[in-house]
Amino acid sequence: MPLDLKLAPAKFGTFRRIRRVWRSRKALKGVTQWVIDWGVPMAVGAGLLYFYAARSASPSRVYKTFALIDPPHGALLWTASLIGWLLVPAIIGGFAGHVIATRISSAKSISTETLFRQRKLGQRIRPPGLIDDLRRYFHGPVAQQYFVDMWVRVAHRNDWDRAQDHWEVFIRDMVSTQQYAHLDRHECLRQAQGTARLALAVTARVGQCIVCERRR
Amino acid sequence: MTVRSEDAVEIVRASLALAFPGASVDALARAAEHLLRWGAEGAAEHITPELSERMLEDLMFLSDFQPGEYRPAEPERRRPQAAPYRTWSRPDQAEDEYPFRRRPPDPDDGTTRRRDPGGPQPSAG
Repeated sequence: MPLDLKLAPAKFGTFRRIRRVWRSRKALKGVTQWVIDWGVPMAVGAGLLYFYAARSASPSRVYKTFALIDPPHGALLWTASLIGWLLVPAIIGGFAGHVIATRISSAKSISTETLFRQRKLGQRIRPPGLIDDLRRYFHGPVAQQYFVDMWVRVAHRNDWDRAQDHWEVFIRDMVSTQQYAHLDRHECLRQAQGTARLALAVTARVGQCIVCERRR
Repeated sequence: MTVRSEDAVEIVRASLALAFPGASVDALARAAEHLLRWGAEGAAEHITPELSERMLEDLMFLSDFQPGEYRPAEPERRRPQAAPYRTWSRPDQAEDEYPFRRRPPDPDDGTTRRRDPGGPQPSAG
């Protein structure tokens, strides 16, 4: 077991930063995650279809085919027509139905975490948080230094990359549970990371990591 | 039997099972529920080696795990003395009288804290 904690690396690569951002999206509400995971790619696909169809026919012709005003001619316009009458109503209807149903059902259900609290505009529009970068813990308060010493040095033998990866995986899976479903995105991350630091420090003291164990 | 990890208790329980091998599933689940509550209370913000030792004892008590069977990864390192207080809620059925403090005492509040040097102890020979 290494006696000392190795210095934190100066920076993680771009891929690792993007990976951390991507994994942090799991702290968002289910609807927001769906928009990111499926809504944006479908909108991009529909946009590309519109762009290439508009090059062969006129933009207004493509729009009228989407809206079922004109019959389709050609493969691209047939695809646009199918999307217009089959997928768009189903997706929009399903999405709107879920949002409305969730709002209605939550009207008589308040989380104990939000009791008597005030959520101000600044909190509502604040950008989502990210899973913590463990390198900041190296110079952080005693609690953070203690955790990173156990997690990086003892459980992962001074392998900062692997320790950061497994920390992110653990947090991602924690925030994906019902335990944190009713919390706002910032509180969800805060509580999940706090609990993770307590739980993972216990296992790190015996030189173990649940992610290493499951991936063996 | 496959258990869906829709509940964070299952994730934390599986993690604690590594530290306390042989502990029963129910006891580990009880310890995991307490750990989730302590995490929500913000206990992780003020954890120190001494407080970590106190929490470890609480978790072993909740898991019905014998302290003698605990195998730390660094047995040569002297374990710090468990803090005589908690910054989290008392475990169910615990009968000790350790007080609750919102945060560890500051160094200059008149409470003497002897720093634990930690590290491997030099051999006598």
